[in-house]
Amino acid sequence: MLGYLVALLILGGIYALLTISLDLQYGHTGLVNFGLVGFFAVGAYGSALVALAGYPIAVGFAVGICSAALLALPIGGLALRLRDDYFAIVTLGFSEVVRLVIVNEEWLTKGGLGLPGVPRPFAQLGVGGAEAAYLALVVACNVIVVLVIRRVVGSPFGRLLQAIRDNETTVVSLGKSPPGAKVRALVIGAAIAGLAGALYAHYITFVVPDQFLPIVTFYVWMAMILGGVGRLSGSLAGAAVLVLLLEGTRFVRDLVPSVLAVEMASIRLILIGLLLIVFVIYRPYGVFGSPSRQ
Amino acid sequence: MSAKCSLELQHVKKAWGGLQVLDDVSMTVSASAITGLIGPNGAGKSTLFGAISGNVPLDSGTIRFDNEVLDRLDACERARRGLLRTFQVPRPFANLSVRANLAVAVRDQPGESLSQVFFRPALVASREREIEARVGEVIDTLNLRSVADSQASQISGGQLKLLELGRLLMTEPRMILLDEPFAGVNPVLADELAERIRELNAGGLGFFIVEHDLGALSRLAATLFAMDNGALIAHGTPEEVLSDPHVRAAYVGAEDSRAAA
Repeated sequence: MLGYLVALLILGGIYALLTISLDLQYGHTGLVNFGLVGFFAVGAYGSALVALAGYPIAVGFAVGICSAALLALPIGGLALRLRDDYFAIVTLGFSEVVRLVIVNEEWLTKGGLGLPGVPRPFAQLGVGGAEAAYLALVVACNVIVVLVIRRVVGSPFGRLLQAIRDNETTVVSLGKSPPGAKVRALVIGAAIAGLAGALYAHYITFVVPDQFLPIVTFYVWMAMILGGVGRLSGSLAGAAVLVLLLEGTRFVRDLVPSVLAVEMASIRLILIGLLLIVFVIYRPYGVFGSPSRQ
Repeated sequence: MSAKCSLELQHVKKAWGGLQVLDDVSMTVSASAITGLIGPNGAGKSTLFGAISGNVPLDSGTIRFDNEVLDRLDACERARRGLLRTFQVPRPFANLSVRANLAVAVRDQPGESLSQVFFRPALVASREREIEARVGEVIDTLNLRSVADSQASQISGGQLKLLELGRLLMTEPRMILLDEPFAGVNPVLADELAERIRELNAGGLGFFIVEHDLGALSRLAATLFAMDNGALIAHGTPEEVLSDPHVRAAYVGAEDSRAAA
């Protein structure tokens, strides 16, 4: 049971990083990123490939983070010329392109078979110890990211991001240029998503394209909305609620044993949807969101 | 700022589809005076403002500000020249406080560079203190003290107009285009706004104002321009323009067609 709890916390911590990344882009800057999972995938595969090639895991992490961040540059330059809704579609398309490239470039990624045996750090600590150490690593990453992001959004740069979110035309009419700030928000968010991907790959020790379907992006959107948009504490709480929903609905099957496993998978999604609806009705601004922000 | 600084429009034309919204407009507006622009609804006043601020691309014609041709500059670049505008409907940063709305308007802040935020925090903090002091001054000037820490989405329409003006004051403006500053503002606040505009003008700042409240505008402006159907039909002192038969006909015509509809 303790092992399961640790696993949940690790998963929650990884989702928390993704949610913080999305909240920087959407909650603070107004960028409707429907392709977050693309950056997550690049971080995961980047780190896994480098580590499997025999380099230290830390180098893998660095490569994963940097390649996700670098990939955000052309996406940003291309897509920031577009209006919000088109930007959303371009990012969604981008994440699918990333996934399809991974599926098809078999020489590099082994395609749909995936990459097994991604090395896991702290192996010398034994099974329980390695899990605990990995949890500590995830927590440490969250703490660092939260501190950095707090500094960013609390700075005049963060104020500029929020002004862009609220009214981009006005920012231009004041003689300030939004694209630079938007690209930077996109790149920072992508780097965090890349970090989350690297943490995921080395924890699960197996990466396969099916782990990076668009549904992951929408899980993260769900977490952000549940926790309250535009709030760091909300991102953490939202990720926790998300993991509870995703995992908690697993146990529903134990309560109704007559249901088949296949049916249960669908029922689980229905339950998650219902809970999301109930949540949005009764806590429309999220766990920590205040009514004045949206 | 030299007293000769001015805004010049030469043969400015703009059509939306088949409708000529700006029909060969030429005018010179002093950047050290208060100038008004009047005309019935649909005369092209807001389009003219859009053309000057760079929000509306011209079909032909040239616009100069302080002898510099603006035609190839976008809205952002024109604002950086000190030529700024408000919009008919206020566009606040709704989720930011009144203070933050003002502070964010300051250009070229070191704190907007991430490397400065992380590696030169002292520089960022000291600049931020200067900005806060300036924000305090503008808040006092515009009498916004009571709502300084409120979110912009929660202040009244009249206060929003003051906030829009205040935001421009943070940017070292040379000339400000106000699009209907008195619309929807209660009379007391409108008088106060007019008084602030007069004081700021006495300090050397130019204003070009579109306004439907002809009484308020003619008390404020030294010169009026009148437009109808995209063309300039009169200009001169408020008395001259308001008694001009073309201007009266334009307004009466607009009234007639409205009555007929």
